[in-house]
Amino acid sequence: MEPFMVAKNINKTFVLHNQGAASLAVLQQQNLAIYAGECVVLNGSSGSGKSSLLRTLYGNYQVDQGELLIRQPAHQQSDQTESTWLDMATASPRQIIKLRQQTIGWVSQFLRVIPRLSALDIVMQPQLENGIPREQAKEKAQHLLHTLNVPEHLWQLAPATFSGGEQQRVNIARGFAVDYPLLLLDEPTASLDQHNAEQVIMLINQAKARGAAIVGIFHDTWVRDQVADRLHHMSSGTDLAVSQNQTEFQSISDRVG
Amino acid sequence: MQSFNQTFSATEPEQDYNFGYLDEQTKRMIRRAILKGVALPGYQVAFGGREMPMPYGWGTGGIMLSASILGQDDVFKVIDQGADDTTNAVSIRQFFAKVCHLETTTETAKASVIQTRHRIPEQPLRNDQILVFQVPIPEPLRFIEPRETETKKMHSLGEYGSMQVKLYEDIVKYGYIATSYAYPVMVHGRYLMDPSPIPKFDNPKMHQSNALMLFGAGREKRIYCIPPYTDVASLDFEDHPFSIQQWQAPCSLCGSETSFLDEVLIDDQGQRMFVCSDTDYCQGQLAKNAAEEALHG
Amino acid sequence: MDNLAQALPAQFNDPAEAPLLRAEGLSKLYAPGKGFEPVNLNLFPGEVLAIVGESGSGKTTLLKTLSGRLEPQQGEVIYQGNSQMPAASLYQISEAARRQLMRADFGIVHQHPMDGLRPRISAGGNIGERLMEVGARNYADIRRQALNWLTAVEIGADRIDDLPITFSGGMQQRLQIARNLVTHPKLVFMDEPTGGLDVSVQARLLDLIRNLVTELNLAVVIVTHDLAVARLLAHRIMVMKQGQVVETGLTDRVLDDPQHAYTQLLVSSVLQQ
Repeated sequence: MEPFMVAKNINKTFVLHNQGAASLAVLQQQNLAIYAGECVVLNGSSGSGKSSLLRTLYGNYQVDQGELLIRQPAHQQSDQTESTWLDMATASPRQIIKLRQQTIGWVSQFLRVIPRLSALDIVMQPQLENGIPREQAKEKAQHLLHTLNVPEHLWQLAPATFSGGEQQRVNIARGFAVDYPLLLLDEPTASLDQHNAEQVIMLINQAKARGAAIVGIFHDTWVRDQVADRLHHMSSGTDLAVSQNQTEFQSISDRVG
Repeated sequence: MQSFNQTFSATEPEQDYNFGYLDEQTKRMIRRAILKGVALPGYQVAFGGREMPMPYGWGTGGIMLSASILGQDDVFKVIDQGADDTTNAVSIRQFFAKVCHLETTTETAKASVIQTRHRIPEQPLRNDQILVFQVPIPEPLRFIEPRETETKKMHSLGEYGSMQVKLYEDIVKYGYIATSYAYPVMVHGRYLMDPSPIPKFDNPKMHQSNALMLFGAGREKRIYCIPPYTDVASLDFEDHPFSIQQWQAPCSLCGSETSFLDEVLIDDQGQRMFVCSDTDYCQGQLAKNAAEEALHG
Repeated sequence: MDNLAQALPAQFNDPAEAPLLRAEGLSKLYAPGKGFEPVNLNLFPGEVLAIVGESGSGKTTLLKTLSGRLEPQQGEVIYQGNSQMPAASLYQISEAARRQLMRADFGIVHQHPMDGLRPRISAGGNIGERLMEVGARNYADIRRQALNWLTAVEIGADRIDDLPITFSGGMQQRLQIARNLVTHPKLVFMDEPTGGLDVSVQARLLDLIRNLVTELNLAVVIVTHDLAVARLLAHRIMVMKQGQVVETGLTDRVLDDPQHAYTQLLVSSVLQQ
């Protein structure tokens, strides 16, 4: 089976021009392959680059070196049956936007939206951008908000006044509103109580069941244990974990090529 | 060889002013502007207006035009709001009688050149007659666009859609197009034109008119023309078509049902009557009525 | 294994996705550092491009040149409304053709709403004027469309006959947007549209603009010095400094991972929300 996404030798360094051109190497020689239907959990101590890697996979950070290949649905006009690959490291902004619209879902740690938008509108929006009819989008949004226990009287209100947990659940509902083939989750359960975290676990498992590839960061070990198919160990520096990854990756990489 | 001036003074020894008050070069310049205006119906031609022995607003634009086109054989008529006997009309008529020694008249049919303020005579004009309008503000787009550079551009590119806004605002305020005078027209399907403050009742008379129509704005120094037999269309909306004023009763004096009527207060109790604004036409109708009465009575 | 991605074309080759507006080697300099130096860009239907930078960086000059209102010294602005239409180089076609195109396909939203509105004309007349400019001559129909748009920009239907000078700043700005959109332009240029507005009013306007972009598949070029506005509205961002484009790319990538020293300074100077 071919992976859905392959990150090869990813390097990322921040150069702070206004602070004496200090350079911060946040990702070094990262290799990762993600398959449909599995959940890969990025694991490592604080500062090991989990979040940076996740952001890189979303195209949020510019890759300095390496390839970030994502499988493309076969082109309609061509009779090619093999999948084609798009390198997100060199893709145009428009290509990334299209990927984010149709292929890659993202749940950030914080909800960042236009202040006045109602919770329901926020959850409907990614669907509308994909041309899903308003009524259908609304139905799904309501279902998700219901599943995540966002009280119905809040749906028409802007989330700015909600509690942190409520905001986060709106954010999660939005991330799951479209059936993206790839989901990136940045600590989605961080501010949730156990009951709500369980609902999120259920959504993740449902997404896996329909064949989505998932990459996530989960702080709570009990959540991680319930969703992770495998762990991707991260640390700054070359240690055993990395070299283990390396060998594992090499075999995958050969198959892809 | 005699000089030009000597020749001139030899032919008209008693003339204190040059014929028509303006000097010949100025008249020639104005006639050139008229020719240009005739060639571009509705287009505002700039010309070098002269100081006239009366203030702006008294019809200097019309007077300069008349002075430039009048010849010794012309018969001149002046009307103000349709009347031959108002101060403005009388003054201008006397002015030309003095500086041209030409024949003046109050009869529309007799005149070859008619200078007018705010009306077109009721009696249909002939193609050997010229109607000269006095124009206060020549630019119909001024209402919507205060910049001259911009209105020039709008004219040159034929961008007149915004003129409809004036009519739109009328319907908003009054429920119908309430603009009743200086009602904007399209001339020959090309230039938007302000017909001077004539009532919109007179607008249809400009369409395919037999007579040449000249418009002169003295203060803004603009001349524009409608040559004979030119299409002149009043702006309107599909669902609010152009229409002219109508009156409940005929003229109290002559009984005409087809002429433009003025409302006249006749006592302190608010009694009023409606009479023809075109005095010559009204008198003509009266005479006709009297003749018919004599015939049948 | 190497360079799998090269199998793919650099751009999506869907003919429906030809750029709406292209700028090639465009420049306009009033003086060194005043104006802007050669700029290349592509703008596609449904795309929002933000031009950011501090005052005097040439953002507004660039916007004027892109929108057909200021002739460049060098380069071309090429507009192609759809694949059936021939591409038009804005400053090589006649002024009449350019104005015609701008009336039909462009919208221009000024920073100060009264610059784009007629103060002595009712709100409905302000919206209707655009329709009348492109030939509408049915009063009832013009009024119906004006009313629809007032509602779309959340101005009460009962204000249709009021003069814009009686409106609040936020309402004026929404009226200006309605006036621009009533003729269904394909491309709207906005110069600091939220500049003079209260924060609460700003949010409504941003929401409105974003909905309109999605629903009408509008392309928008928005000049702003407010990075938060750019983040919420724009797909792509262009950072200008002293007439030069120092960085351009995906909005969140430029704001979260700025590469140029100036962009880093700009991003780090914003107060955290």
